Amino acid sequence: MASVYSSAPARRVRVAKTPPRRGWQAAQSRAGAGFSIPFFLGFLVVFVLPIGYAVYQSFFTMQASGGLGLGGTEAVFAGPGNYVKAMTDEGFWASMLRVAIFAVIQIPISLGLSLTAALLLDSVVSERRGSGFRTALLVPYMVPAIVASLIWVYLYSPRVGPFTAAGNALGIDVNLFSPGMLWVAIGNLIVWMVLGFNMLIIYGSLRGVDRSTLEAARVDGAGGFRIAWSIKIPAIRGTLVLTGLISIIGMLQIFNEPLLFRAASPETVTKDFTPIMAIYSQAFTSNDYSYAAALSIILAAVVGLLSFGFYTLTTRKETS
Amino acid sequence: MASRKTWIAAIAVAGLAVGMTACSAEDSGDSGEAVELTFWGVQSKAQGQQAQVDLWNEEHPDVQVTYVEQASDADMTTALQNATAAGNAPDLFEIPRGYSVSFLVDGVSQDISQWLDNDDETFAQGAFDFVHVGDAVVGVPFATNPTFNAVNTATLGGFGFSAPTTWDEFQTQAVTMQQQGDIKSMNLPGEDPSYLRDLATQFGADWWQAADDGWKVGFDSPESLAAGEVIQRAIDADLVSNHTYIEWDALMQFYSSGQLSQFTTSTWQLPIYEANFQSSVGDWALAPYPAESDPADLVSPSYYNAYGVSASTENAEAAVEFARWLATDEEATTLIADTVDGASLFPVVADSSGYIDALLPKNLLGDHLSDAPAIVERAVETSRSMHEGPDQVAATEELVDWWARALTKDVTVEEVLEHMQEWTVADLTSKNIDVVG
Repeated sequence: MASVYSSAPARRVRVAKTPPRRGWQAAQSRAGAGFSIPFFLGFLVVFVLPIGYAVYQSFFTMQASGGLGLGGTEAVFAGPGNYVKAMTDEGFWASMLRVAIFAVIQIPISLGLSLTAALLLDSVVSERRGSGFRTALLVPYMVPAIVASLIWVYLYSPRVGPFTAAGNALGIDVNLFSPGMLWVAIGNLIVWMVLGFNMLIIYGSLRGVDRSTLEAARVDGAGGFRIAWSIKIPAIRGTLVLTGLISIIGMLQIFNEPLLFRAASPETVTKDFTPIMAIYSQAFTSNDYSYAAALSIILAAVVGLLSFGFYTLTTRKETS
Repeated sequence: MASRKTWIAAIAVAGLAVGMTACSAEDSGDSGEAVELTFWGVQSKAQGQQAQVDLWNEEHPDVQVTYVEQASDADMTTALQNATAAGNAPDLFEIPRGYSVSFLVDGVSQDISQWLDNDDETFAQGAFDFVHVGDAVVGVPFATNPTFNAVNTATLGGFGFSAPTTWDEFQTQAVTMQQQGDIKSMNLPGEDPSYLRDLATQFGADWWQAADDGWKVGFDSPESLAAGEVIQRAIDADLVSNHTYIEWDALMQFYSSGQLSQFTTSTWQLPIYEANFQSSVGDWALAPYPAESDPADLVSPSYYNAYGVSASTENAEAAVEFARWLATDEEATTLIADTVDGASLFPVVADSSGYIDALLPKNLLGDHLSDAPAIVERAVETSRSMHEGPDQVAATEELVDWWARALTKDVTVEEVLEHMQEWTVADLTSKNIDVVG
């Protein structure tokens, strides 16, 4: 009886308790969904809709009327015309290739320096001293890109900048605005700007590496370099993939830096020097939003493909 | 990402524009309510324009104007294009240089020929002609840029020279100064092909000329090529420096160093030079732009600034009337011409002689100040401007690419002009705009 008495309520409890738990979970899900609504609304308004409109607009072209073009302009359906034009746009694809080559050289250097800085900071015993270095390295990232470019344009100036003067003192002709040195100048500027940001991400990941493993390695006689190479770097491979992805995406979109350098060396930095400059020129100089939209879609597709390829390649290596 | 940023900016500006213009562009109709206009100007002229607006509002309670300042020509262009797409453009705006015709083609501005006339001959004829394209009027002119040379008398005097009166004389003097003192006589920044445009203007070229049934493109016209030849000779003889505007301090140091014998300028730039020159202040004199051949037949290149009336405004007539007042009312033009509280603009009124003295910097010109007003007046009297074209800004960007290559001797100026002819014809054709001749 007792067992019946005791078991029956137990069954009742189980039966009775299940719906509230499900209800609680459902309520929590609804609350979670509610909290995410503002994000999705914003995402829809500032991301999905504009992209959808850009895709729509890329299938039209603006045509003037009247011999002088003063009779008004109307949007005419162009089908894939803008995409066909884009595929044969030598200036646009040259800018893609130009930036891709630059990225292949610049990104490993930039990430290598960020990784080195992060590893050095991770090895610093004093947390306070480490914090000071982290802040100092992050300061350039806080400087707006256009301001940073202006600073470096002055530093690079062959007329008043210190680099040319220092080169002259050593008997070396240094002109960072010359066609041969311009990419070096832009690359250095980008490294200066993003080093701290990538360093911070990598450093955060390094702090998550199991300290007992590092201690064990030290006990086994491993030095700092050996620990970094064999334990820390493999442990943060995922983070390196992430920073690599961010760098690839950012690199194909460089705009502010070369735009400012165009004033210093327009024979090298042409109006379509980078893909974004080409798109900007079409949209705001030629006022051809439709063609600019088509170029933007193509650029987005290329960035997406490259990012996917990079991710697949690096994660496959990780698996193997 | 660029498309993302572009569209985000477009939506933000559109949203802003909706809010800003919701209370503007109210048609007074017969209700007796004041007409409300919105007027966009550029920061570099904001001080003078705001003062003009304040004066207008005080004197015209029936038409009240709200002034909005844009940071730069580029910002103005972007904001106008976005606001036009959103249907909320300001009633009146300052047309960024090069856009006077393309804004009409693209539907940003409207033809105001039914409201703007010069029956009372208030406008200088050149300014009034500038805004006429075919049968259309693209805007209300409000400022001009009489062009002349500033010459360093100490540098020229060191070689026994006075200001050159023709381009041949310029070349002869400049070669001597280059060979004997490494003195340059032209500063041609790679990002600014205005020297080429000025010379082509003087030589009588029209890079865009409206004909009855289409545009005549004249980059490779004999006049344009002859102007290009003058510059080519200077480049070949190493008479040219290439200091850029982005290195402003270095540019000012070079200009004032005595290593540059002369440069082409206009009244609005003179106070800037006076403020930035660290040396040679007082050594400078104004001289007429060198003539093509006979100094008596001087043609001085020039260009004009204009206000545009948006295509969507419901108060076009009031906007034109306001713009006309900005450009021609004596009190208004005095405000904008002021070198301290205004924008040092040179008015486009038929008789502008009364404005010249106040525009001339006393310290920069020193003992040469007394000769300067006559030089400026002659530049105004002999001024000529090309008309702008429907794709001028895009063409100018293309020209910058090639101009810089010419300065580094990668191509010749003739090749630049031939390329521009080809590029411009192709670009106009792609936009369904006819090219003739």
